[in-house]
Amino acid sequence: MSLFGRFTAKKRLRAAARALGKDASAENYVVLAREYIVVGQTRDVVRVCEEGLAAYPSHPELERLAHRARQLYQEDRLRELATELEAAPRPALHREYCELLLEGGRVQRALEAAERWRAQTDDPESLYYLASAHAELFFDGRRSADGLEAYELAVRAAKGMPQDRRAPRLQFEIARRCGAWEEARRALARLLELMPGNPALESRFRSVLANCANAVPLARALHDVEKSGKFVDDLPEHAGDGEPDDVRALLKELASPFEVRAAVFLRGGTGLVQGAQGATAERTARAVREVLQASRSAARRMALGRPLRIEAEGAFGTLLVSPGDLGNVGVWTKGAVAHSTRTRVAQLSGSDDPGGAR
Amino acid sequence: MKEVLEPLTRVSGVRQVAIVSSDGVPVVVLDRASRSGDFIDRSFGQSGKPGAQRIDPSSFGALAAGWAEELARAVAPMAWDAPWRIALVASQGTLVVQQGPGAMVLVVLEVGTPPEALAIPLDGTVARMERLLKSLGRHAEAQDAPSLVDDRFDYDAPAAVRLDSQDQPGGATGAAGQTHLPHPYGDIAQDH
Repeated sequence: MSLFGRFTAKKRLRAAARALGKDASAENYVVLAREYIVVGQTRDVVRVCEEGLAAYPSHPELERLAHRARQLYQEDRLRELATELEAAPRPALHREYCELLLEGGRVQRALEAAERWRAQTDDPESLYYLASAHAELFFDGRRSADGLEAYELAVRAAKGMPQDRRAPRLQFEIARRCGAWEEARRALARLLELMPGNPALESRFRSVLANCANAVPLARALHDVEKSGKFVDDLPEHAGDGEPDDVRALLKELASPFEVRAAVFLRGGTGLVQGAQGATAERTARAVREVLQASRSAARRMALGRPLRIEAEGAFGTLLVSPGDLGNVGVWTKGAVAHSTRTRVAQLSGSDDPGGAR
Repeated sequence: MKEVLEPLTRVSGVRQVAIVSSDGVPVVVLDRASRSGDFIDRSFGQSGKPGAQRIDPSSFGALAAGWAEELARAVAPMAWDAPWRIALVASQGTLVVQQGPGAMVLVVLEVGTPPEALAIPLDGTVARMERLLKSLGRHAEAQDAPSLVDDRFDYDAPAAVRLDSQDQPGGATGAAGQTHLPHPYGDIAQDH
């Protein structure tokens, strides 16, 4: 930014701060946050957005700005940390680097960073971050190998850091989510040794103890999670979903373009098909369900995590399948899938695929 | 064969590229190293530890081929032909499988990389594979040897193998005098 640009930006910043002082509205918080973005002070953007969100919770623009600013701040900090780690690696920097990566959901990079840390120093804390990264991969992809690796690394980290609560907490979380109650009890007992008399832990210990009668070994519990794709504490599939009337209307809209041959909505054991009739409709719905089933288990086994979108292109056209929170949607088109169709599919399925409507 | 895949490794967001036979046997596997970002050849089990994909390349190839087959079976009632390109966008990466001549090209992408970005590079890779196979076929014909290309695509036809020589392309004689037909891409992969 030029000297003149910097001068005018600072002037606007002061004016925005004064306006906020006079009238602390959400719009003025947004204006001030934007002015901080212009001068590149990301930390101040986060601060202003958090202050604004405290007064106006869930204001969409403030939330968006805060999220973006946090991302930018993390990026800046990660760059700084990477440079510092090259020059003078030390545990505090490694810790912050791994934590920022895990917070930002960049698990693969966190895994690589923790691996480098372990290779450099063999610090038991690096084992904890390795375990955390594997645990994140397990919670997301439900692959038993990731879960087992995470648990074993957490056990080793706990041995290396006997006074640290993080590793037994992680052990407990992994064991609890897959229903390995005996391992969960052991981890809780260790946590109680570190925090004697903690009422929340004691009550958890009692409930876990009650489940121990039906405990399965960890390896078996992890295998069951991989096979079913579900944790013991998962809500039933599509527990809170939209109205069926909305689904029908959206499905009709989805199948209306000329290039769409059929649109399918699957929820539980029921399928709604628009655009195809009779045996063709049934065949299409079955094909979508089979594609989904095959892809779910394959994605887990291939360490790819949760399927967000499946696309098959061939002489038959394109089949796009989108599993989501509201249901599973499949659309069969004559050629390439149009952008508007992708948007409607993502809307109908409630998919969290960021590229679904690209 | 590595040269066929190299342009794909230059596409941003690519984590692993491979050529796998239709039954899942890896022919060439190039895996991105986590530190340097360079692609390492893991075709013959080199660098034993799994790379960015955290899974042994041979298992990965078999699983991907299995998935492609399952998908082809699932969409079979909708069409006569199997899909030529399938993509699985998942929370920890994206897998794209492109059908090539007698083999499949697998590409694993980083999270957030759209598979659409690979459509043209993948078509180019398949075209390069076809050219390579054609040139190898011409070379084999020039030496009065059975065509590799013909052997590869017509599995029901009698295999053209000379039992009197071990140097024939497309044939090898086992210790007990039994003839084994190697994988069609086996020699090609070792040549490069």
